[in-house]
Amino acid sequence: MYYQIRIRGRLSKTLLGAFPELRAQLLRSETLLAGQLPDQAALFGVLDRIEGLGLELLEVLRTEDH
Amino acid sequence: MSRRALFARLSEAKRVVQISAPAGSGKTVLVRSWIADAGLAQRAAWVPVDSQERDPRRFWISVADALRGTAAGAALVRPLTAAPDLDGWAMVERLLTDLSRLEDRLWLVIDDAHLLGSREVLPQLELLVLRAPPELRFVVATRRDLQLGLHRLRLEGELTEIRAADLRFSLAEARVLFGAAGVELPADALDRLHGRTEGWAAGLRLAALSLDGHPDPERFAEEFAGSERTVADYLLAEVLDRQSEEVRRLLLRTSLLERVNGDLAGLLTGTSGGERILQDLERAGAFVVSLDAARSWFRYHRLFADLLQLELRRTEPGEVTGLHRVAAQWFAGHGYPVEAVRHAQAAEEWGLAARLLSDYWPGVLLSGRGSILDELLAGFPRGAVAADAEFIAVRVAGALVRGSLDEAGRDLALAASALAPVPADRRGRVEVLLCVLRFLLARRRMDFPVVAEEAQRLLALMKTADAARLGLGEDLHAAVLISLGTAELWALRFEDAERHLEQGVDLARRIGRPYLEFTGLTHWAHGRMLFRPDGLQAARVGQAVELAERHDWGEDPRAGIVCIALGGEMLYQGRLADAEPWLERAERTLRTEVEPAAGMSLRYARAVLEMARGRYPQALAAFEAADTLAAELVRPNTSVTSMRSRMVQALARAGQAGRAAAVLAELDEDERASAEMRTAAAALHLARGNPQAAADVLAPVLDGSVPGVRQARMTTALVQEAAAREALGDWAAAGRALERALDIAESTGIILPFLLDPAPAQLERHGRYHTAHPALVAQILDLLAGPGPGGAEGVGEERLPPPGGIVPPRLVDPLTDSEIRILRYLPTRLTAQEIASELSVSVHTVTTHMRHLYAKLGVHRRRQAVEYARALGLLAPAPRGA
Repeated sequence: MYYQIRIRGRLSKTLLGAFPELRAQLLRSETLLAGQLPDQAALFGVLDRIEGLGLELLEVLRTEDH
Repeated sequence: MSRRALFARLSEAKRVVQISAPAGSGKTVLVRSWIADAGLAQRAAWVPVDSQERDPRRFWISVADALRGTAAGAALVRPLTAAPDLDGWAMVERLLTDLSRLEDRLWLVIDDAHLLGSREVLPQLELLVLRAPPELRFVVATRRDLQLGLHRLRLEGELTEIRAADLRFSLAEARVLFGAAGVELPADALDRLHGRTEGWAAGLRLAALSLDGHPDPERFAEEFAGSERTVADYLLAEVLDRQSEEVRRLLLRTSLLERVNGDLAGLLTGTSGGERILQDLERAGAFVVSLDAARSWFRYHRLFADLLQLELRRTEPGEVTGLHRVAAQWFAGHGYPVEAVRHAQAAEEWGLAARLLSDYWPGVLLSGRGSILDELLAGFPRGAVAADAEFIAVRVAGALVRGSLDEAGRDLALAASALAPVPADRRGRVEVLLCVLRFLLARRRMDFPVVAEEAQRLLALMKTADAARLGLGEDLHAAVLISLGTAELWALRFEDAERHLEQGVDLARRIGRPYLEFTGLTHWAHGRMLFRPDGLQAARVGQAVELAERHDWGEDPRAGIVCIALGGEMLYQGRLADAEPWLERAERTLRTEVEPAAGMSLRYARAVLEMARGRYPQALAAFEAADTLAAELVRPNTSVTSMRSRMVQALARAGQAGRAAAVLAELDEDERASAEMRTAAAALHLARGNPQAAADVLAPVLDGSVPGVRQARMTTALVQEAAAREALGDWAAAGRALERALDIAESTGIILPFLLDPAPAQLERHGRYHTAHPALVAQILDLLAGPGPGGAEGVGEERLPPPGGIVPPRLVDPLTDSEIRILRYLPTRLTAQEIASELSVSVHTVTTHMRHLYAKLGVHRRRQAVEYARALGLLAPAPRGA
């Protein structure tokens, strides 16, 4: 399944190290993480890391096309 | 840092405070500083939830320990000890009992409660919250809202919530925070920092650290405000930049530890002075908090640990594995095997991790933490676990803890076949461990030949100089002796059993393993009761009960075994009404899937009790349950033979001669020749009106040509012989047989056989003219007349002293597990509907159970039920003022 996750703020290289399975796109004041995740459990794993790092989650999207 | 408004809310809160906010919001710091500010250090029990610990019992042990660290708690709360099979519910019940006398206000702080997750510990915590005395206050800090039944507390005005918005620092508070850190800022710089961090505690703290001694705070604030990077990330980089190389190195390299001390920090950084740096960091309110009063152990605030680890991975990716490896070795060398294995796994040093796990699992198992083994195994890659003999051995231990005997058996065979690739220097040890596992499995299955063989091998190895290297410590020695003794009991080798149990108990006491000691004592007492009931077991039962009391193992399955011992002893003495509550108690606590042999013994005792009362359908149902468990034990097995012979006897007496005959027909020649099965066959012949056949089959038992006949069985044979001779018209022989039976009963106190083959008319005649035991005959006749105004059931003039807290309630009809579960909710204000939704059952089910338990307690109202249940010890005593 293909997911897009929008996080507030521009993540540094260090922080991006926490999401090796996703591609990152740095926007003006947000970061877009996107990529293929095998299932919901993997998604919740990513969300857990976002929570653990004190990041602000803005949006999670599952898309067909990528 | 003083935050007056929040402190006031905490101090004025009612029963429960939930602090629910994201990482880095300052939850922990707030509660800690409030406790210091309000002078509550002696009244606050602090429990940090361990992210690595999945076992609810560990959580409750840490709760008890923390409560005992407070002034009031030290006087009230008894220590909890880890014991296999003691569950979290029982622990909560005991905490409630201990705390019921709480008079001074006490705060229980549970930090990082979100890590409790969806485990069973949450409903247990909810039970504690709902039933705790009013003076016990809860402060629960969590990143996510918890399902704790808090909506009800909210409705009742008992809940105070502090959320992210409440925790944000106001501009004025931010100014104080910077001031306290020695940072003076112009108003607009402060304004910028506050706006950029949105009052987020972690951001402000990092900013204060970056600004300490900063040459140009205004520029710092400006650049930060202009950056679009996330707050923590930006500031952490700034902070690290400004630290000395020494401190930076320590921060990065120790961030991957769950906890750190100076020694460990020195090892990971290659320098000394780690402890001083950690203490300085804590004083500055940065990154770490101390875990002990001596300030030697520290842990990172989780957010910072995660950020620092990411930085370490980015800047020194090659170092991470090595650091985990060094940490694993340190923890292994200092007696923390579980942490050692976890670090070895994190280093992906599978060989090291496997070796550590293989070396240390017996200690983990014997200290009552066996349930963690499955979890540690799950940390290995799949392929490794499947093929390696050492892994498979750990898996067997895990299966034994869960009581999955078949799985354990399969894996043991697998492990033995995978021994070849194990390096020569480890093979000896692995073979010993497999031997231990085979021994434990055989013990569970009562496979006596294997138990004896493996035990002798282990005991011989323990005498060699190699013992320590092979991992055969004294705790294992004690465990082997006790298990061997237990198995010998079942094999009817009473002298050996008693010797080994005694040695095991002494050793366990000497090396301070109360749980092993308790286990040994319970089996000793049970064995005495089964094989040589002479009253001497009372002292041992007393010791076991004393240990159980001290450690609160009253609900432990091992306590169930003591109960079988006591109940069974009373049963032999014909004290049916006295025996029953003990059996009920055992029925509640014993986990038959873990202890099938004891489970069978219990069902057997219940069956005999019902049989003695002439309630054959109930007796047969219990026999069937015993027979199902017997199928899990290795045959031939003397206790199974004994049980099945009584089952045949019950079938014959219940008019089911066909089924009785079918059971006998299945036996092999040896079994049929035993004293047990001869009495079974005699019962069948008597039921079919064939007394001559009965007398014939009994003859070898009575003339002594069948060896090793137990007293109770001999009495049964004699009672049957008397019935057969009377039916054949040989009154003199009948009288002789009956008198012999009475002789045995008089000398041993065993009366039960007279109740299983009741012949009141014959006894009465005999008692009038022909006996040396008129009082005994009168007593048996009384028992046969049954309870009620005429009959006096329970003859024991010498009752055992009541053994404290494990005295069972005297309910005629015991409560079922479901009823007890409902009963726990009755002291709350929940309606039946609400209880139903708590337990995920229908309201109809709840009301049915309530009706049944009211009937059993003999009450009509909920309040009465609660009072009565408390008086019976089924519920913790009432909280003060409730």
